Amino acid sequence: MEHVIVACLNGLVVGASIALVAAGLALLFGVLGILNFAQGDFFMIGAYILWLSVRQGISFWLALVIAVVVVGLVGGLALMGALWPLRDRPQALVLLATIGFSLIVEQLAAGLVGADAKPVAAPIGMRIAVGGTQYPAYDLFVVLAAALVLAGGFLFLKYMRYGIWLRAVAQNQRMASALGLPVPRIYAVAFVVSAALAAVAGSLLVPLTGVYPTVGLDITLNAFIVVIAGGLGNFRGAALIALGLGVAESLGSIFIPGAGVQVAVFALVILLVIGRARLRPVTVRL
Amino acid sequence: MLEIEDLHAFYGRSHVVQGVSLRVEAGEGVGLVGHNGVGKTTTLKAIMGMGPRTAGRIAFAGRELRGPAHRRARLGLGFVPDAEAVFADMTVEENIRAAAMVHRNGDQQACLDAAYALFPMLEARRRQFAGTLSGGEQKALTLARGLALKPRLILVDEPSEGLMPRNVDVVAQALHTAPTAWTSSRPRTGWWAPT
Repeated sequence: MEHVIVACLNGLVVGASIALVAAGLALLFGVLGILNFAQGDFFMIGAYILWLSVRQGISFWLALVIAVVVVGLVGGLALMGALWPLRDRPQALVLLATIGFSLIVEQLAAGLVGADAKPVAAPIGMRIAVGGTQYPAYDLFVVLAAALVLAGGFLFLKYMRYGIWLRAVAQNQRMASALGLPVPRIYAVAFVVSAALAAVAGSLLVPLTGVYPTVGLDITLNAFIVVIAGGLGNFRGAALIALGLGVAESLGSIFIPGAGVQVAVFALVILLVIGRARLRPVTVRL
Repeated sequence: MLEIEDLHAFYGRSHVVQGVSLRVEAGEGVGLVGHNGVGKTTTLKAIMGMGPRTAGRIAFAGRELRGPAHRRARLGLGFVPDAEAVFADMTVEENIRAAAMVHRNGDQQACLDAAYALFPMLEARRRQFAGTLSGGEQKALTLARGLALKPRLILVDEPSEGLMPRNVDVVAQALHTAPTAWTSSRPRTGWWAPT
């Protein structure tokens, strides 16, 4: 029983980080129809900024804020700058541009700081007893923080001016523009929030995974699966499925050996996608 | 208030609007009437900067209209399109709020109250997704949302298209109370002339 609980907790940690990255992907796709392959790189840059800041003697928490703000503003707006000239061009070009952006950033990171994994110590060293196991409190904090950030994102989309406008633009950009909604500024908000969500995940996870140039790759793949299964653009769906996927994988690995778990999880996702194909496509939904 | 001189509008090579000139003064309601395909909707879209390539002069409140639609809307130009205009996955209330929020210091509750006073049927459905409303209700919602922007001039495309006679009266009443109105309507659809 005890190892089931621990597996569930591990799954929640993985799921929470995927959920943050996936929510950003869902937002950007919903608003702009952009499948952003550079999302994992925002995750990675966030992690590197945190590592660098901590090395400079800045506290972990302040470093986290710096990472999120810098990646959100600089990263989000840089990607927007790269994609803006392509806004009326075929999707494939935008896709290629995000892949190109991603490759450039990864190579830059490898060139500047090296390809080896850099560790950062967890800011909370405490352990909590789960049955006979001492479970690290920081892992639970990651889950809690991700839940709070996602709840904040939900409230932002539901009640705040730019949140409501984001959904309006996602559903009918021409009409939103005719109502006086500042469409370019709303796009910028989507890019910034999306990049910042990835940076939150990246910097929260450094103490668990360390940081290296391709640290964001796996998580982006998982996040894409989640976003597709949740219905592209579906913010809440992506978050819930990410948590479900994390827990299912972690629990499944107790009972199914090796790569069998992933096969089972992918089968589930495929079933979900087939089910979804019958429904109409969604834009940014809550 | 609105001055159009020798307006031409094109979709690709097709020359849809050919030399329209007209003026709308403050407090005046003007109807644009004509058969299918003569360019009524295109004229409205050209004024809003929503799509067609244009030539000619459009001035609103003494200023030349240029740039994207949202800049024109912020000058006080409201637009109520004919079809597919509601934000379907948002509630009725969120649809109206989205427009009311354009005015930074605007009183959103006052906008909602005004909208519900004009169209009581919307208040009963305020938490319902706009995409689930009937055609007439969606029309009322687009109009309420257009008015929530507090425009100085509102352009309404096909105000009575597809409405039950009772709802045509409701829409007509709403436009009578709006500051000014300019509408486009086919002669066979029912009928309403603003004062």
